Amino acid sequence: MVTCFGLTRRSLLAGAAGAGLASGKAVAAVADPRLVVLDWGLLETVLALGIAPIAAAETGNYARAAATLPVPPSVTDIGLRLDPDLEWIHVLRPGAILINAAQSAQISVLKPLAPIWTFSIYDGSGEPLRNAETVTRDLGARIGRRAEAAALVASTMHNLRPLPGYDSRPLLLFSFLDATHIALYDRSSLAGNVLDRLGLDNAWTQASGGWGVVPLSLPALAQSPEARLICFGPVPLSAQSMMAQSPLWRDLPAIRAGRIRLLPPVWNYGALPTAARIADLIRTALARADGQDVIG
Amino acid sequence: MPSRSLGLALALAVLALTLLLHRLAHLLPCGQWVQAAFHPDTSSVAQLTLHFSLLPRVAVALLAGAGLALAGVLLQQVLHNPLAEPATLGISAGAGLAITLVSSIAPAIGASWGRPLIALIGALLAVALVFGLSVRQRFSPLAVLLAGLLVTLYCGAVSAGLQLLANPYDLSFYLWGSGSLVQQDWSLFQSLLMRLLPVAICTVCLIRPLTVMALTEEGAKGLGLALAPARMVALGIATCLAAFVVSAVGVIGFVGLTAPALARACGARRVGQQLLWAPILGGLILWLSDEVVLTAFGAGREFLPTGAATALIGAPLIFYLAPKLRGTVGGTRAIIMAQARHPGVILALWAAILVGSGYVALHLGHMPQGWVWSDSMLAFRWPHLLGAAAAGMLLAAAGVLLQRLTGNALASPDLLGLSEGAACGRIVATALFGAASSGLVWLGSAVGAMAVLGLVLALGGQGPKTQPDRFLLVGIAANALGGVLVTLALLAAGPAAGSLRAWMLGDTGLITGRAAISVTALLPLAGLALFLMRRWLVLLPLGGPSSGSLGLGVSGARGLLLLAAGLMTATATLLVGPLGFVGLMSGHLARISGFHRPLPQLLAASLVGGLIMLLADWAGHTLAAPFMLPAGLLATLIGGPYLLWLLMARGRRARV
Repeated sequence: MVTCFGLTRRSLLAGAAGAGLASGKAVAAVADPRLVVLDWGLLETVLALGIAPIAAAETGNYARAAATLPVPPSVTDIGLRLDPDLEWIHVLRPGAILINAAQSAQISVLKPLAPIWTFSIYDGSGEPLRNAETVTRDLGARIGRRAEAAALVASTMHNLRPLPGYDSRPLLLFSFLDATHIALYDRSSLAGNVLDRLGLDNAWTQASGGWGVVPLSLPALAQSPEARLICFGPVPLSAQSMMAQSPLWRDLPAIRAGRIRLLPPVWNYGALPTAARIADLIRTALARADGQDVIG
Repeated sequence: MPSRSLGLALALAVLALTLLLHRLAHLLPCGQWVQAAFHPDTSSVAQLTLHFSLLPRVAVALLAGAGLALAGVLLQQVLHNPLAEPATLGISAGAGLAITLVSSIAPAIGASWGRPLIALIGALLAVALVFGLSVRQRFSPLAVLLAGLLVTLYCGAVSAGLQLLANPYDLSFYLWGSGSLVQQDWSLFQSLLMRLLPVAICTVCLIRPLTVMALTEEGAKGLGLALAPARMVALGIATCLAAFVVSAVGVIGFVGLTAPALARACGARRVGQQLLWAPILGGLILWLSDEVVLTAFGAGREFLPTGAATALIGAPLIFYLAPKLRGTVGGTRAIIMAQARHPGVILALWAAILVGSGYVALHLGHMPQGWVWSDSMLAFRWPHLLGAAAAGMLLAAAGVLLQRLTGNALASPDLLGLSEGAACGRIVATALFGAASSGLVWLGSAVGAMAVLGLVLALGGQGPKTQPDRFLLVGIAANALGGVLVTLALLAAGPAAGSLRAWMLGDTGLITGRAAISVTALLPLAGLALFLMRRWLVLLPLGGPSSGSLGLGVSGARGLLLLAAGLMTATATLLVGPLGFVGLMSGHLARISGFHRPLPQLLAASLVGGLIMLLADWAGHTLAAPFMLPAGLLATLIGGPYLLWLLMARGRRARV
């Protein structure tokens, strides 16, 4: 078990990358599931289990917007997650097509191509982390990677242990949509679930629709004066100039006291690898002193 | 008379103020309001919020609404067109597209030139395009309006396409792409005021020329006034006002249309009165809309952008006022074209082009190794190609039916709001019964389309008393209301919003073979029905009494044909979404090509509509492969310029 716990994100990354580079032989030796993955959460789960799919949707955008795990170059980009290129998928002769439940409208056109495996992490229950754990085990069992799935779950849960020595200030998790609007991550989001496991308080306590992301206008930040702000990137140029000018922003209690942390972009509909990455990022950010994260 | 304007203004203001005070009371004890308004205590977040967010937002709403209303009055006076406003003439859309374009392609230029200048350039280009397109028709109100709506649709489609390419899942475009009033200091208000005020003051000099313009052109010359320069100045001022407002708060529709209409309904007949009262009412309408949104959703949680919410107040007002409006657009058949010389040959040629294009589209594709000609992908290509073409034919036929029955050149499923109604019906039915019950979803879509059609007909007037402008006005309002419902549905859909949005943009990738066949099977049925009803189609546009004397159950015949148009729209919308404007374009293309009699025009339009959608679908599936581009979006991009070119080229020949 100790070795399992020792499996960090970095070794996962290395493992996934290695599996990708050697995709042809190493993976084929275990099984050749020839997976086509149309959901990013499932994509990173498959990669973390040491399998390189033959194709995935929007791998370029994943590298830009999510980037939890590197996608091996052998993985063909087959277009949009909502409307992939059926002809390209057909040419690749997939063994199975992996989708999330929100993509089920595509089943009727994908069915002739290969068996469809549907997994549901974001189902409106507000428990994406728990669902991601279940999905990881299910997926591992289907592609003959039970042990790797168990190790991934164990290492992620170890990563999500309560954080000691924090000053117990509640955190407000958000990212900028434009200069005046933010996407706020409540308790039902993946980041919110991670925060719970880390033993940290989410400053946004209002009821949510269960999908995790609440679009708000900027003044809503003033409703939680005691909070420490965690801002996921990217910060648009317009928001940067707003921060430099707006008295309302500069006089927010959190901003005056330097209680903000700037984090890189994170895919907020991810699975266990993203959960572990969010935990790592928050832990590192909170280890910094207030006032160190400055925009610009 | 101004007493009624004053009464309405006071009523709007009291309503908005009540809501504002209600919100203030939640934020801060009323003893601190005055201090927060003038000298906020920087340690109090509530006082800072009131000073730097809440009050500037009210001020910007009043200012932006007034600017749009003033632009609306000027445009309506100059163009003699009660439907003219920055949003219907393409001015706002041009400004908005310029901002989107520059910020996504060259953000550095955007930062150094500033948004107002870029918006102004976009707005001026749009105005130039609109008037360039209608110059051959001597700026007839209808031609200007048609060009304006086309430019609006086109700019909107390009904006949506840019956003889709940049970030396919970014809902914030849907939420705030249409305008946001959120403020975090007074800087935006100050800069907007500094720009709007000088421009607005210039309009005082225009009162006399505009008053004269309200008379006839000849009268003006008799009075020794050269009106052309005054016209240009008024147009320029309206364009500046609209561009500055768009650069500050985004595209906000309806205010420029509603406020002058309200002012007139309240008895402001003289130009001077309208120039005074419309801005006051416009500012109050926008402020009230914003207060309603903020009160309904809670501060900071504006799930409905105010730019869309103006429809919630503006549309019912339009519905209420429509029967009272006196039409002045007139000249519904302004665009008169020569008869086609060999209609049969042309029809056969178009049919051959459609079939040939279909054959090429089935075989030519963009695969990982490059362009490939093969028949190995037929199984994947025929469903969406056939479905898109069939939907295009249905929409085109529905467009011709509506145009003929209403005698209105701009009547089409998209502009009258039928497509949006069908989309709303589909969304509601899917929410109620689930996507699997396809019969009920189709029924919901049909009910949605028919409900909008009924509303437009009931309020727009029928038969010989049909008021073309009133008709369109109600359609525009219904469209905007539908847009609000769609925005709310997108927000409620959670992660599934992406696929809903793709369908709204006309994504055809999910059309199954069964759906394509069942819709195609409707085509011969619809054709037969229309063939049997062809006599009515010839007679009905003559007007109620004369048709009645020919022994025809006028209302029955009209009702049946309208029902056909509604059902065709509903069916097609399920496949290709509400975007595309194939219904508008195809009928015009057929007419411009010289098909005037009902059946040939229906046939020609259907062939053109099918061809546009087929090409759009094929292009969407191949040009950026493996990335799909929505066919509805591409249909607008392909068909729009062609229609514009035809309007210009043929307009010249027709006059000679």
